[in-house]
Amino acid sequence: MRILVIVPAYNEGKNLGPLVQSIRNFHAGQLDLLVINDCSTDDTREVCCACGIEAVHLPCNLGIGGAVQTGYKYAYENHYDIAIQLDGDGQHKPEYIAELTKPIVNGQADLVIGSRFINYEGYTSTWLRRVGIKYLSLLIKLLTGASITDPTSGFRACNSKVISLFARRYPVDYPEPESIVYLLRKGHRVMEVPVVMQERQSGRSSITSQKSVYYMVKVTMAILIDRLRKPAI
Amino acid sequence: MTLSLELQTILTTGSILSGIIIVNLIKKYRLELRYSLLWLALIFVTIVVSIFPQIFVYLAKFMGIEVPANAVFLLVSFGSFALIFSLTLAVSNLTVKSKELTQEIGLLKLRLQKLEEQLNREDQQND
Repeated sequence: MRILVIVPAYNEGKNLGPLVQSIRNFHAGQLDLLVINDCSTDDTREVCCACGIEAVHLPCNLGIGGAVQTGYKYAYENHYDIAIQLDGDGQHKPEYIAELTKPIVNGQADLVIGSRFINYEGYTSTWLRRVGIKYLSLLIKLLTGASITDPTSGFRACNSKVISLFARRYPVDYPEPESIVYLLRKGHRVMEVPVVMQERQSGRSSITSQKSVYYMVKVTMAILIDRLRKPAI
Repeated sequence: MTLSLELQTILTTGSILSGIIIVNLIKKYRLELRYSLLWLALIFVTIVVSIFPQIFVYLAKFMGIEVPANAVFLLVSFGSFALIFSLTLAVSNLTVKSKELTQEIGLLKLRLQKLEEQLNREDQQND
């Protein structure tokens, strides 16, 4: 089983070192690591070189969707069996990688999402964001019938079928909820496992309060429009 | 609707000149034909309309507009919307393409780096 961990990073120079260290501590030799440096303006590139991390340094800033898709393209070209998406800000704990990959190894699911809202342990974001997540969860439930408790989670694992789909098409900004609906439409099995997340170690989230309104509108439209598409597209 | 001969001449020569400029730019490969087709169509319509301004009298009557000039303004703004929209289409097309290229360059850079390292290692072994 060849497993690739995709870590999208934009100005995460401070968080990247400890993160990579903990991934290596837990899963030394079992998985490959690929950092996607989304044209950071800080020392992300230097940190990658210093720690000997394999990294794609994008020449232009693409945003989270474009960065993550680069990782999926790499996984596709290099025939990986499983790709794991893990944010570079230290929110996602590498301890849970094994739990995330287990349903895929057992052939129970095509995409596994690490959800904060199954056991409600650890950092579960701010109140307002939880309301937003609940709303998206309800929207997906209404439109697809699937129960996804944490549709915005960027801590996910998928198999080679989903890797090839994502390599070809992946939403550009705020991609997580839209990509779930996309996979469900294509008839893939999406599953959730409970994880505990941490508050980000340093730096700021890309979704600020001014952007959250745009986020909700954009994601809602994306999900609604995806329902209008035919299964084959 | 009647236009003064002066105005009609100005409008017609103006449209014909713009058409010549656009065709010249295409000839010099400075303008992509696919993006200029809409402009050429618009110029063709302006030429026809400035020669036969009576068209707007019928159009206004057909659309239920009392003053033909208002029909002119309405159709002109529709035409502008169509042109702006074609630009939005072109921009999203380019966004997708530049994203794909950026990803490809990033991946190729990594591959090149790995190849260089491999070559260096082989060189050192041979020395």
